[in-house]
Amino acid sequence: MKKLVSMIMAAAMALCLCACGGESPDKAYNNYLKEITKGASTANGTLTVALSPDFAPMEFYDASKKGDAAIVGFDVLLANFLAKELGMKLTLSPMSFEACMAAVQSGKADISISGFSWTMERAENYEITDWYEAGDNETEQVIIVKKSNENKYTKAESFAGMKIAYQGSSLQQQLVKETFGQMSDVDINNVYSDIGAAVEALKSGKVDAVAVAKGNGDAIIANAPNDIAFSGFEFDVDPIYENNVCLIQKGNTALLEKVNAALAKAKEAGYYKVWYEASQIYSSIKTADELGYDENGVKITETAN
Amino acid sequence: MLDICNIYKDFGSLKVLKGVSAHVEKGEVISLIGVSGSGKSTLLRCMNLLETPTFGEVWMEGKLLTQPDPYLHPEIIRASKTFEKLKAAGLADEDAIRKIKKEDLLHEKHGAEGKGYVRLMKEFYAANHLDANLARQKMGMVFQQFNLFNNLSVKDNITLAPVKIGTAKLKQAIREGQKTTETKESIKAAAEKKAMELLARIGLEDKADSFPASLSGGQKQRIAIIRALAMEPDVMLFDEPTSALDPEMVGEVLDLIKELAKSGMTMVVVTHEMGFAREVSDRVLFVDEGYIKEEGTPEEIFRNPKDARLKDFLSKVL
Amino acid sequence: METFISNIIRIMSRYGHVFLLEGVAYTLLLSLIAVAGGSVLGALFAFGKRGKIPPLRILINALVEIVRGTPLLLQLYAGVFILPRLIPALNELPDIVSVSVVLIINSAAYVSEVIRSGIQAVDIGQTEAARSLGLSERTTMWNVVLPQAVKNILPALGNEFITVIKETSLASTFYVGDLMTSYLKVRGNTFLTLECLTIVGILYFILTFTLSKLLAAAERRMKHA
Repeated sequence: MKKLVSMIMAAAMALCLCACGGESPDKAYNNYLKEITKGASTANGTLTVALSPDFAPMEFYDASKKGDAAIVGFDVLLANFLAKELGMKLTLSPMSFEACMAAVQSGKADISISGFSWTMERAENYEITDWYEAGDNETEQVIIVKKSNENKYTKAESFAGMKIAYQGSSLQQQLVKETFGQMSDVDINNVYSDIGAAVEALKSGKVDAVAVAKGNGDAIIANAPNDIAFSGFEFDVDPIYENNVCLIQKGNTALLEKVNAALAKAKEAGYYKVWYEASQIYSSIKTADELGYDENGVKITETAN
Repeated sequence: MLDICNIYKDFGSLKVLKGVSAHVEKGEVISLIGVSGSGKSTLLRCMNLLETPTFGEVWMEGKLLTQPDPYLHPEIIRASKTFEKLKAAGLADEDAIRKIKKEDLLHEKHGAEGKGYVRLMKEFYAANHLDANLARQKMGMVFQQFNLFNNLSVKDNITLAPVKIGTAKLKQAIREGQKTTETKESIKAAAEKKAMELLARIGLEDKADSFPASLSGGQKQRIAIIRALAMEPDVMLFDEPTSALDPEMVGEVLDLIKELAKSGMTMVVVTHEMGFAREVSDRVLFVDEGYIKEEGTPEEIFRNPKDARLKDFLSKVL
Repeated sequence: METFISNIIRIMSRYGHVFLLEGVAYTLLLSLIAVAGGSVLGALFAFGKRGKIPPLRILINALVEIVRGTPLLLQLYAGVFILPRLIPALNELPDIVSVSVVLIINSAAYVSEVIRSGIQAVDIGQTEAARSLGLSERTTMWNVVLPQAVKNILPALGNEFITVIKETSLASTFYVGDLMTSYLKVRGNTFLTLECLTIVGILYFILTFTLSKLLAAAERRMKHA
């Protein structure tokens, strides 16, 4: 009881403190955002982008900001870039993951940039853009487990007798089925509507492991470092799945071409890596020091002197 | 002044009234007696059109209150083409009338001499019909369950109808360009004055601002009676006015009704209080199984009942 | 258990304003709009249903049946994705407008039933007495029946408000800012599902509990009036 009281008092103090200042992990991010939107014209209409801001560092909310500016992340930077390249005004439409797909299908949104991977089904029902590489967010697909099992399970066979969970309709679901489907002693019938729920199941012991994208895993572990860790296992991923894509309404090839052209430009300029780093700092998955940024959010390059 | 002509009333497949006729003179007090379910309440409610007769007509002071019933107007039927056709086929007058169906008549727009059944009926209606709302303003009804307006004070209960209806008439008059000295306020003032007078008559002036919930049954019923009187009706209808009262309050209500009867009000009363019926009525009607099986003066009915079921009934209640 | 509580405290100190200033405020705002608009529209529905224009009656009845017979989530999807095709103006407005429209219509469907049964609950003798005095149908309704029906309807309306507060949580699918949206936002940042759910659950409970106590107090006062 005493401990509880002292914790509450600490929190009360923290509450007072948090009103004043603190670190601004958004410096690097804001620099890149400014760079992207500089000189943007909006002559060609509005680009409505549907996304589901519950997925750090790709898209998430900055609770200290209001309105559209509160939605941040790698995909947001990308969205701003695409809008500028197309000469359109950007409108962000936040909604649940399923709703995003419905929005593109119904035409309510022009495009959805929400950490999508390529899957056969999506290719059939939508126009899929070229891939973009959000750091190592998607390139590695891993399995997370409880901290006590950190790095203990490096092979598929190690998961004998365990329950593996994943988000429904996701790339991870596909990978889990492919990898573990034949193993009769692995329980892979643990579908969850969102990653958060699957993580809760892991914490409570209902399941033993959760398949996630590496970037996601980073974020989850950063928030529960004493509870969750990487299992050491990495999926063998077909390169085609390695990166993210955007979804566009089937048949809208005009927009598809323009977006692909813009993506090619971003790839050439090497933006993907630094945007991802800035987003990681912003969502506190990694620190500025770790990734080599100074206190003004500028990347420290080796050509110093 | 009140004429009931051959009333039938069906509720779905249940036939409650099966051809009832009655006549009420001005100033008469008529009692309707009979067992429960005999149709006496239904008959009363047909008089002020709370129930619409399935067949038959109700007339008040020369005005038709219900829809016209063709079978009561043979002369109009005779004017119809359908009738002509049947007669031409060789049927006698009476048979022809009996054979005619209402549906056939309604289809007929033009008859002999350019005026078909439908047209004639319309003219008849226009010449004789009185709107139900207007008719009810001249008839007062008192219910077994009192039915005072729970959301209004006693005084408002009494003045609501006079004020609303008076104001509506005033607006109508102004619209038609008639000159009048009345105003909304004068109507309201007059209604309130009348209400207080009526309350004084029954000794309940101090209850003017009370609400029905705080009154006893006997008080409620007496107020219900003067609420109806506030509209200065030509006839008062009572539907078992004392049946829901505790015995000690029945007397005060009956006294008020008797007083009203003595003052010359035309009244039709459905009641189980035989003593009251005997004392106050000019005529008593015995309603049974949807018919009026016997009618006469209180002497005749109570001393010399002829109908078997009436005798049976009286033996049970007296 | 201790990590759980310390997590909650940590979350509240960092994101408390999201829950309290945004979440609670938007939930109350949406609920108010839904019930206020729903009451007005519901009254129109109720009178349309009793009215004398058959096509109108049939239309309203059909709408009410559909709204009461399908899940609110489905209606929200329809409102956000399909409605703007019929009313292009909605495309320019933020989703919260479409969401509000759906919530209003949804509430109206239930309120029209509340009103209808409230009117029906008034003893028919009241109507009979009024008509017997020669009063018109309209005057009877306005001066005698409705005032008494209101006493039946208001408590049910209060309950509808409390129900709507919980139902607005579905709007979070479109990140409209209500309490459930706050949950999604903060959860998206912290990945601490259970803690965020607990906070939001407590806040919802405080809202509904307070309101139901206020409602009970108001009902008691009305009884004495």
